[in-house]
Amino acid sequence: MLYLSQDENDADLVRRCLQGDAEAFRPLVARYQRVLYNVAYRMVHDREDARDLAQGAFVKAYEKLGTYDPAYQFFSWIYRILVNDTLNFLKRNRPYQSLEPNWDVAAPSGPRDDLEARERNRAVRDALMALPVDSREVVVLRHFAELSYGEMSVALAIPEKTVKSRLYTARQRLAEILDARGAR
Amino acid sequence: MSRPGHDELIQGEIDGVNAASDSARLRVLLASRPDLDGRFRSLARVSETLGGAERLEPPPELLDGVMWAVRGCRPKAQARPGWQEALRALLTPAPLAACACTLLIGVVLGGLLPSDTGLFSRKERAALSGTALSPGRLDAASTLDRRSIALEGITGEAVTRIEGGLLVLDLELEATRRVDVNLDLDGTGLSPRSFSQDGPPGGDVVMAVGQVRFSHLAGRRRYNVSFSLGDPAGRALRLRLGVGEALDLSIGRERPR
Repeated sequence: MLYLSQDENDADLVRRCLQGDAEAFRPLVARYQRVLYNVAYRMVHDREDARDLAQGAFVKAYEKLGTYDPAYQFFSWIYRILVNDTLNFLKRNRPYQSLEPNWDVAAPSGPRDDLEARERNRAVRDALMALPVDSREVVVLRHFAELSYGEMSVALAIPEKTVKSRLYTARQRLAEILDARGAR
Repeated sequence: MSRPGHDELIQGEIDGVNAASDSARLRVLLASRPDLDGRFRSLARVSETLGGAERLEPPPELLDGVMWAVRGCRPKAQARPGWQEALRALLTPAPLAACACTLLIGVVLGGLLPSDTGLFSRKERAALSGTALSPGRLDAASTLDRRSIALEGITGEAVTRIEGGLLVLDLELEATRRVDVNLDLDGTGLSPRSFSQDGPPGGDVVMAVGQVRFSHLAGRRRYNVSFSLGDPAGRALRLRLGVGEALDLSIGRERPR
């Protein structure tokens, strides 16, 4: 069995994939699956769709590895694939409608704190889904993928200045929505 | 370098990217401007709320599904060069010489071949000119299985392949009567995601856990059904047409029997 070091960097793993070692892709998927899945989930708010989108982004990235430019970070590149696919998905599918009762927020395991956490999660989810898609994507990439302005600029193919102004406007809108729901 | 505006200072502070001098400037500003202070606090609370929102763990089948799909394909080794690079590469001596040789061989062979093309069948001409590809070579690299269907009154073809991390079944049927089509998913680890058909809608379509059912009306139609990849599969995708014998279609990861 092949041992893959945690420290092995993305560029080395990509190079090995290009040399025909498909197993070298496993640590890349393991490294980024959580964040890609969460980004997709926060964009589409459906676990199955999020899984399919994340899975599709990885497979597409693998097929196009030859076009990856190592001058950029691997994750910025794969986020770009995911974001494009997610936007196409959102164009094809119905707009989001909040589900009541809430099926998607983790079930409570304790009394009051859990109830509050559930309410907060539901409020965040609904507030995010109420944002226009271009505002939602910057908030999701900033807060759920923790990308810098520069990395978001690469992932979304827009200037850094636009990233900042979109993010600012989106946060203002979120503040209004969350205040209106009394969620903060 | 221009000094950032108020909004940029506030956002930079929230995101932790302000230089020490900008943070100090913002503190002074917030102390003297209650409106800005209110805005800063409001946006900081949004950031905090988002930070406290739950992060989901990806389902275990995500990694397995990706690895299963990538084993069936090979990444392109390098990016396609732009037209300028391609032209430059062509004009180097070796490709130029190769082009000249090919042209010469073509001229010589053209002279040697009989001028009456009627002597050869179309297939033979294609083979001579090197344009005949076997069906196997024409198959997409992602194809997992391809089966011809020839039952009483029913003909067609079923193809399983991988596309965008999903398993896709392309089914073409031509029948002289209505046929019930049943896809048995039990033990395959697959769950149905989408269904489409060409032409006018046929009979009812049922997509449920463990199976997909629909009716093929008399005539010819193409169907496209996609599936998510779930738990590791134990067996092939089973296609049954009417009451006929089932056809097992490989999904590329069945356990050997």
